[in-house]
Amino acid sequence: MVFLSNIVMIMTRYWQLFLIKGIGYTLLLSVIAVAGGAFFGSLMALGKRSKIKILKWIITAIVEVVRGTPMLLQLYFGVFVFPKIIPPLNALPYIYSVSIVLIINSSAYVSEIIRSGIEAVDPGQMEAARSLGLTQRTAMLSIILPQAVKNILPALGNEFITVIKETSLASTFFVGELMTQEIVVRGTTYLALECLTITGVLYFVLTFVLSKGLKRWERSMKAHA
Amino acid sequence: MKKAIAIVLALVLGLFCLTGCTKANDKKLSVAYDKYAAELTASGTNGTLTVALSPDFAPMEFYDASKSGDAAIVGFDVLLAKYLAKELGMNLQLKPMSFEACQVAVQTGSVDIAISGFSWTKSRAENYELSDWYVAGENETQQSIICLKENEGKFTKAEDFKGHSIGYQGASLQEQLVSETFGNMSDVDSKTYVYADLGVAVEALKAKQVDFLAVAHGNGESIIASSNDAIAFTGFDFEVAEIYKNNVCLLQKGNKDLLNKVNTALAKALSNDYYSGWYDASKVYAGVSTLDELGFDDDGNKISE
Amino acid sequence: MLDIKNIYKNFGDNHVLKGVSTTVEKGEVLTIIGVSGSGKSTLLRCMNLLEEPTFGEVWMEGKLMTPVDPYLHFDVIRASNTYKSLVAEGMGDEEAIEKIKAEDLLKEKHHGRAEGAEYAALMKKIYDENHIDINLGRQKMGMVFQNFNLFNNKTVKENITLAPVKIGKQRLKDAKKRGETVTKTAADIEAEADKKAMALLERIGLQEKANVYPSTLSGGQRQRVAIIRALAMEPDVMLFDEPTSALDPEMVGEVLDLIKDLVKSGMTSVIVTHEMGFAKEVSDRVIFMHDGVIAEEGTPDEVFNHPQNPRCKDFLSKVLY
Repeated sequence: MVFLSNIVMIMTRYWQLFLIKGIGYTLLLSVIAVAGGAFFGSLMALGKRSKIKILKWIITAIVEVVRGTPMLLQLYFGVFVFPKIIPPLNALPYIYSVSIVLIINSSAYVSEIIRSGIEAVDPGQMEAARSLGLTQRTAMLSIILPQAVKNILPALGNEFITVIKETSLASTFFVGELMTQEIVVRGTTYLALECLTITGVLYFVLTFVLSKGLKRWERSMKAHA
Repeated sequence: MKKAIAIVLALVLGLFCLTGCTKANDKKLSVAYDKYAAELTASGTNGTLTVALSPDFAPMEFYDASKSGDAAIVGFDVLLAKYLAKELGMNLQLKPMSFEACQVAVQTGSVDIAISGFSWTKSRAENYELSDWYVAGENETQQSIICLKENEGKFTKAEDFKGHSIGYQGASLQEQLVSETFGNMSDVDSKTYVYADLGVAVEALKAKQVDFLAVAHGNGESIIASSNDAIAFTGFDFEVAEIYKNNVCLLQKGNKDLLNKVNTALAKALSNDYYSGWYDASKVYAGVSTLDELGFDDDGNKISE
Repeated sequence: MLDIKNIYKNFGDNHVLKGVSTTVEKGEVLTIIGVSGSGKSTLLRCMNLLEEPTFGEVWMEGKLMTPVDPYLHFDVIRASNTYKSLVAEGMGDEEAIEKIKAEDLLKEKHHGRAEGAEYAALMKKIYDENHIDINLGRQKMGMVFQNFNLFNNKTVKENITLAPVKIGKQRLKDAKKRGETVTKTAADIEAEADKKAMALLERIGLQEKANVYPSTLSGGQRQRVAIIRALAMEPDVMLFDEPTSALDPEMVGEVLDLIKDLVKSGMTSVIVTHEMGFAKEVSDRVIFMHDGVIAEEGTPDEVFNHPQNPRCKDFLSKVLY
């Protein structure tokens, strides 16, 4: 079939772009997004519980805006508006602005993951701890957070897999991840169906392998408790 | 289950790797282009010229997969960008992004100029500073309609298209031409389809979801070349007003200073006829034509007639 | 020992407690009975401030656990601007105080200056002289929950030693900060807590379970561990919130036996329960709650055998014991 021979031809010529650059950048962006997201998301979740009202308000605003607008819009914003606020970004390639947007986006979702992970812990645990005379802080550190982590980690894993797919939007700015490579190859070969098929298969393999690995890891964590 | 997954993955990756053990030998294709590119290397002292373009549009701007970094972005518009930078005494920084994003970039002032196969349209003229036109070979001067091979040569007059569907890229010159030429097509069956990008449009044509596509002739050539003889020119060309025939650059509204400098450089290029050589070299690079066909020798030098 | 003064508790528009007062003496066993929704659990939870009373005060061993409630201190009311203006308009002393109390007329009654400097100063004085840190107060009170609430991420022994160790170490740190000479080390504190925990576990025959996680225990075992967890802090009063309501019938006995032992050894206790036979057996005093107030109060004999309040009679007749 012409279709298959085209695919073979494309892979022969461009396998590096797809497998090395494409997947490489996709994974890089995803790791940056989720690692940064986990860090800032934790700070945000903490800040939301503080008594300083203005802090709570700012964090809530960020979370609501980020969760309420499309990622593509946020990327446009990050690439065209951020450099006006942070001049050093002008000289840097777009992947920096894109990474910042991805981190902010992931932080918002992660902070909600953390918040609901904490809230999912039986409130009786906190009541029992406080009844013994333990401070709020000790109770959180010794009892609540360790149990919340068991709720949070699987959700974080899912966020990672979601981010893998979302990084495809960065292709608007040709940052080099998998979808960018698809556009590039398609632009030279005009073989859209073949290029999209290859890219689709690669994304699927990526997310499939990762979610299987995630399930394994979840199971091993449950066994521990 | 674990084993099965591992085997499947190994096979899939193995298949990909087996077929990819040799890097494509495209050295020959770029030999003429590289000569021009070398001549146009900038040595800027007046700052940096940032240029937005969308490298998904052979032969105007596209990627050379065997290269990396900025050098991987090639095409006619890239040569033009290099030329402008050199004339202005500036360093060149290419900013690749989608076609729509290019326009946003210019509007917000994120880049100085967008050179990405833009045609003159009234709404663009209202919202941007448009440079003088430059000649992108016959890429824009000739606007054609392509079809599946079986329809080749059968549709040569505007009336022939009544009752059929025509597609084009959104916000393009072709869109304007189609509505002007076939605007009175209010027959029951005639439809127009808008596509975000040409690749998708081509797939629609192959799948018979649309009967015809309106494209710039140069793009049509690229499309036909990679279609394995499935697509052909209908033989119909649009009547293109002079003002539409060529490409322009987009600058931010109000940026008269840069606009004047660009126009000066463009005028020089036009009078020295740089454009045809650049376009031909780009066509060879994109694999649409050969060195031989377009009058280059094997070292990439233009054979003077 | 434990003094509950005029507790009101509102959850939004829902008035659960409507003026409850009682005193628990040292060594006394007080049982609270009543239908669901009568406010018994809420009252218990107000005692260690898991619920904060809307009005009223809770005093533990002579120390104030809640904020100062000005409506319980007439001299404070008299110092307020609202009182002064009412009296200036011609109202009598008692009448003014009643009106202010009934209509909750004091503004910013806990913190503000709206009622004047004199009022604020008096409030602060009462607070400073009598208030005890809530955590310190709770350390002297043990609570046992209907759903046990053992710490799922800690072993049985760790459940028991966690509070004594954390609090003990904190006390050590504070003492050092204040410059006092300390003879114990952190390791000592841990060792002591460990010994005590094992002793408590032996007391209930669960010493082999010291290093397992609560999820592997039966309900009855969990509740008994929960009880000794509270005991590890050596509280002066124990609060039981329906300790057997979530247990399968065959395990109720072992938990009630433990509580009986505890009570017999002289532990001051407040118990909310549906186990009438048990209540009759261990209580010194019984309170029947209805609709947010104490409807009947007396010795077990008085309340169970000769109830005066019609609703109490009705309730008891429905409960077979």
